[in-house]
Amino acid sequence: MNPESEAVILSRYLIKRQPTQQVIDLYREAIKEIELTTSLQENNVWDFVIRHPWCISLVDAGFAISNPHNNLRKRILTMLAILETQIEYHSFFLPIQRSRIYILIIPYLLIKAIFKMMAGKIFLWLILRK
Amino acid sequence: MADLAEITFDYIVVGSGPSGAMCAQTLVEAGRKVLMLDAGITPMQNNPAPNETFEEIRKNKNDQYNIFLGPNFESIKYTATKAGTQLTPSKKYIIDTKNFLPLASDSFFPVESLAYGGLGEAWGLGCNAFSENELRRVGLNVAEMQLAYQTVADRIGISYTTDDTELYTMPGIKNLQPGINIDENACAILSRYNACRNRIQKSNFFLGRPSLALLTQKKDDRSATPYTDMDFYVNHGKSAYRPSITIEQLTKYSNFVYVPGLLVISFRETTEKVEVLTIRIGTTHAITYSAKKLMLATNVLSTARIALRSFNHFNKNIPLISNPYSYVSCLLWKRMGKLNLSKKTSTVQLSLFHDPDKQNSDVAMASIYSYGSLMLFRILKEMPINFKDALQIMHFLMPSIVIAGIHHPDQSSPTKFLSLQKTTNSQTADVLQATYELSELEKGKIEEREKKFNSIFRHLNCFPLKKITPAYGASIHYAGTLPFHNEEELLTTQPSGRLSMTKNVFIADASGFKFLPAKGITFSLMANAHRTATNALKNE
Repeated sequence: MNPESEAVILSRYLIKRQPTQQVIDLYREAIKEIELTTSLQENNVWDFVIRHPWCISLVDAGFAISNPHNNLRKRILTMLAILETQIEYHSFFLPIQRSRIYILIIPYLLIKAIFKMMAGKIFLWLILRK
Repeated sequence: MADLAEITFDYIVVGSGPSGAMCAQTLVEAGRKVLMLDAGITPMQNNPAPNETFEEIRKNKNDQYNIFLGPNFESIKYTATKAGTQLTPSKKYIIDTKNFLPLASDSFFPVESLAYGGLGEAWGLGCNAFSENELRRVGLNVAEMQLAYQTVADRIGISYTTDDTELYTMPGIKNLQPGINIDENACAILSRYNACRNRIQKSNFFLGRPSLALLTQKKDDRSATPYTDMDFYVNHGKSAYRPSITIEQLTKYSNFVYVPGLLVISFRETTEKVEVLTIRIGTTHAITYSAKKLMLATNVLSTARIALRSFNHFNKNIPLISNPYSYVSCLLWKRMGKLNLSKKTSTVQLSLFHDPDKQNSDVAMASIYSYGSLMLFRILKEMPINFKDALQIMHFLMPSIVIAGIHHPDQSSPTKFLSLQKTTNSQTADVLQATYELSELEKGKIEEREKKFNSIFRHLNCFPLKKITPAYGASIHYAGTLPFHNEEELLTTQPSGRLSMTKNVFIADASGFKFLPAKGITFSLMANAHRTATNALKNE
């Protein structure tokens, strides 16, 4: 696995932005430091995700219910934590004043997340079956 | 070092935590020659955050990842339900015991410290004096403790606002500083409480602002809190009381000597003095120090180890008590979409007390915080959905999330105990074995109480989202291993604080407490340490 391409995929997935070099360097260091060694099965899934980045949200959602603290989710969380500490991306994380009407988006996001979870579970079953 | 080992001091104080600091201050101010023995671990890297608000740092500091993730990404590392994992990177060193405090258990997971200042360096700063009824249940002398509370309050500086919770926080204690400015979430909860006070009080719940060891006005060389919301990371101007502040002051006295790098193993009494056997951390080289009197002020578990070794009391059970603890994240729905001011403290904002019989003897307490400066990724980690959607949801909800940490009182029972066992696998050749199980009755009572807390949270417009019950020991409040007893009985403590069956060994931590109120232990620990030191001086 190449931490640089992983960093790009994860950053695009989480905040739809190309990561800065600092983010890529930090991600590389963090993966080494945290020793997120993956199992053979996780490796297979991760290889698939790298080749088909569109499916990362399904894999994330699928594991969120079946194995929330597995090493692939930890990699995504690691990138999330690194992005949160970047001044360029603070607006994705620091609270902002919003209209109360925005609350309507919460049920939508929750329903979307639940659908993704179910689809992700089926998707994981399919790719692990191969 | 060899010279010190040849001197007989008036007192040896073991440990530099809240108890050790208060105990030593009392003895040093009384003119006694005091030696403090301590492991005294300090942070490896010193990368303090600037004296700016959390928001300013997040928006402007390019290398903020060092502060929020840690130089070795400590904040990201996932360590199940172990207590202490919520500590910020700059404070992680506090719970690094370097395998010198071995403990084996499958039911009890305590947090211990070998740090300079002990666990007091990460203390949440809440100060609530035990009531008279609680002090009696604990086994402490009410008059002595009331005087001691005042002395400790004068020394450390406490901010406080008089309100409905006075009986549960600072009853009768004077010379306090004005309370902290609470944030908008807390104001909204308090305003709701005021609107339905009678109904809530009928359920025996009382809400108020916290009393904290956090200065709101200048005191000696310490400044008032800068309201930067960075309290979990730094202590600019020493506005938050930490035991290390006291130890630094004491080192200016000629009758005080501080020796770090040592682990106290055991003591031995002779007719004239007490000899204290220590090993040097790292080399395990043995050194013996001596004094006329010994004050054990490490913490309950380490004091138990020292006492059990000294009495050669292996494989026999001694009691253990610890506050059961859980925390509930709640959505303060009326504040959704609104921002909190950036000028605030990260400390507890409100305290909610449940006093079922209005006797102030069996009180449970919830400490209410706003979720903010601990970073969003920590809360996302716990969400059972994909991170991308979780981020969008929490980005909106975070300003209106409050966390309520609920502590329950505890007392000893046959299913909560410690024993020391010999082993070849530890640096001290022994291991503390802990068992902590609540009875069905105790579990039922806790569950019932937590339901009542949830019901009150809902009244206060805080909708409970998720309850997390960490492993037993996560409250970091331990007591009762050498309980107070009027008779001279092995492994008990005399009401004065002297360890039974010894002449000159005193226990200045919570080992003697027979009951553990749920109001937070640190303030009472410090008061008891001062009280014990005063009694030791009288006993000379």
